[in-house]
Amino acid sequence: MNLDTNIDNNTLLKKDNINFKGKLSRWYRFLLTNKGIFFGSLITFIVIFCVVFAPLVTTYDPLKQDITKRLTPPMWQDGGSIEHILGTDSMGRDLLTRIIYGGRFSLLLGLTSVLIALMVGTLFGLITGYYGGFLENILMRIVDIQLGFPFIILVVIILSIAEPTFWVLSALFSLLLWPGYARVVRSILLSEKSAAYVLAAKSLGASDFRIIIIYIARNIIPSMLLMSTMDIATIIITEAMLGFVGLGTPPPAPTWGNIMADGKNYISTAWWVITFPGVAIWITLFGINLFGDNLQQFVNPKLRKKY
Amino acid sequence: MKQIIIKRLIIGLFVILVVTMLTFALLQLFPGDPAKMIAPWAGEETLIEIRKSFGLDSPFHIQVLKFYQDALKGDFGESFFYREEVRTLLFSYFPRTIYLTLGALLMALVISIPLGVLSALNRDSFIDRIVLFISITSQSLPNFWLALMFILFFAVKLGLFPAGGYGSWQHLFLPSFALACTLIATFIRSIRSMMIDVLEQDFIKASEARGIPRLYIIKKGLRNTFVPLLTLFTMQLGYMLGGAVVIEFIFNYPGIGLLAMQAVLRRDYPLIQGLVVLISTVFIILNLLVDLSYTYLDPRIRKEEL
Repeated sequence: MNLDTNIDNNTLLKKDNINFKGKLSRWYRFLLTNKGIFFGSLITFIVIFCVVFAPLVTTYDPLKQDITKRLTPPMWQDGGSIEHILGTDSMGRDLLTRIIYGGRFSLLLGLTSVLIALMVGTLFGLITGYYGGFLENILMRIVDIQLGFPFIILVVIILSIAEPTFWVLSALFSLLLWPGYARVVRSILLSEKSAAYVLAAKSLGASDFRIIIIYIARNIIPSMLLMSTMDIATIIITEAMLGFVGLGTPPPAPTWGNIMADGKNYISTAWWVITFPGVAIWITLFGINLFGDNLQQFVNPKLRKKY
Repeated sequence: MKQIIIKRLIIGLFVILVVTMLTFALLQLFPGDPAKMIAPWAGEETLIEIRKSFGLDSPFHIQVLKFYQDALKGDFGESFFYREEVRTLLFSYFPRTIYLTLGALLMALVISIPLGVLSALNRDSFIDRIVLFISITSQSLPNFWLALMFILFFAVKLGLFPAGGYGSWQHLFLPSFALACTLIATFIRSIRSMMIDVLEQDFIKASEARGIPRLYIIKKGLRNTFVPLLTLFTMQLGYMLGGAVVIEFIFNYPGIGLLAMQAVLRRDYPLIQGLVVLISTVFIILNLLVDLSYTYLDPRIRKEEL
């Protein structure tokens, strides 16, 4: 890698920014005019807003117990009150509050794990895709192992050894996800590497670093964005599932998974405890998937005219 | 082509080797003594005996080597908990999971074919939007939660289907339905886009102009979607196997998912190893099939990726 040329090319870089414009404005136009993307991100933003500003949305403390009010039904059922809109759980805690605070955990977990996986995977994919050889072989074998490993068993084994804290879970998820990113980045790189514009840049003396960062990286961004939204959705579901079978973060701190695990014990008497966290997941993932689905049409133009 | 398959199979063997090794290493990290799990109230002498009879007293590398030696003969030892050959256990539990998966496939096809065709025929209409809504919803619902809702509604409230267990097709219905959930989304989408592709082709327009019935045209179009759907299904199988673990857990359905869950919770080392080998083998074969079907469908990647 030759970094010197990069400094010399600073002026050129600015000029390139202008050239970006055409591509970027196409992006904006697509993002703004596509209804699916609009509604998808609207739903997602509302969820994120509720979760981030949880203390403003609800005045209850998610951990405050009130045994006298345990298992109060939601407000529209007999015995429910306006005080607890979605009712209370087995400890008399407000369910809506717990779901909102639980969303903090799930969303943050998804975001953190995907960011780590994205960074590691992209870096590894870029290096292996561009240089090939030995590292590439190692990467492909790691991907093979990852594809061949029954990950659910791995996760269950690890979580019964290690305490499933936030960081353990995010480390685990990013460990599972990064080879996927590396693989996609690598395959895009492979197809772009021999493209005419890269050859042109090379013959003009551009460094490897510059070619990867300036020319190829931006072709990768849409695919990466798509993959990360889909992966965040998967992580949210998986976390809930792990919590549900009792392998997620232990109470009292609420997560969508452990609220459901608690609700499972009262499924015949208090349907709401287990139902509403699922509804919360559904709304959140609906937003994310609607967004991702439409983004896919941008990433993969073949699909565009069909939806 | 032959070379590619052989190469992939060798890689597959390598993967199984690494995966079992990893599992071994992870199991070593388990807190607690497996001998104690087998006989919780046994005295020290009995514990030593148990360790000896299961080979738990020998050093790590000897255990690993012995495992490979036996595994090559197709022998995965005896389950700590069931006191049965792991092989027999796998043979009796695995088919049930296959039934479950096939049930899910059938369910997904029954639901998504009419919906996909309907939305392709009424593109960008209200119906299309509703189908889109259904497909994204089915993609967004956690399947274990859906399973619980099914139990709550169909089993507890209406009493139409049993809430769990194994035996008749009724026992299969709810778990397969819950498992089909994610498949439905992908199926609807691909059926829709492939149908649109077909409907736009000249020969369809020509036959329409000649007054050939719509139904015939749809049948023609559906035939084209068959191979891609199979590929999609195979791709989803790995994900479905993960989902099956929880679904089987919820419905108390005795397939390999439930077996795996219990094996880990009971520290049943030989059973865990056997399951890991079985599932990774299935994954590897499926991945190979998917890649091969890709090369079959799209000859351009024939040289590069594999």
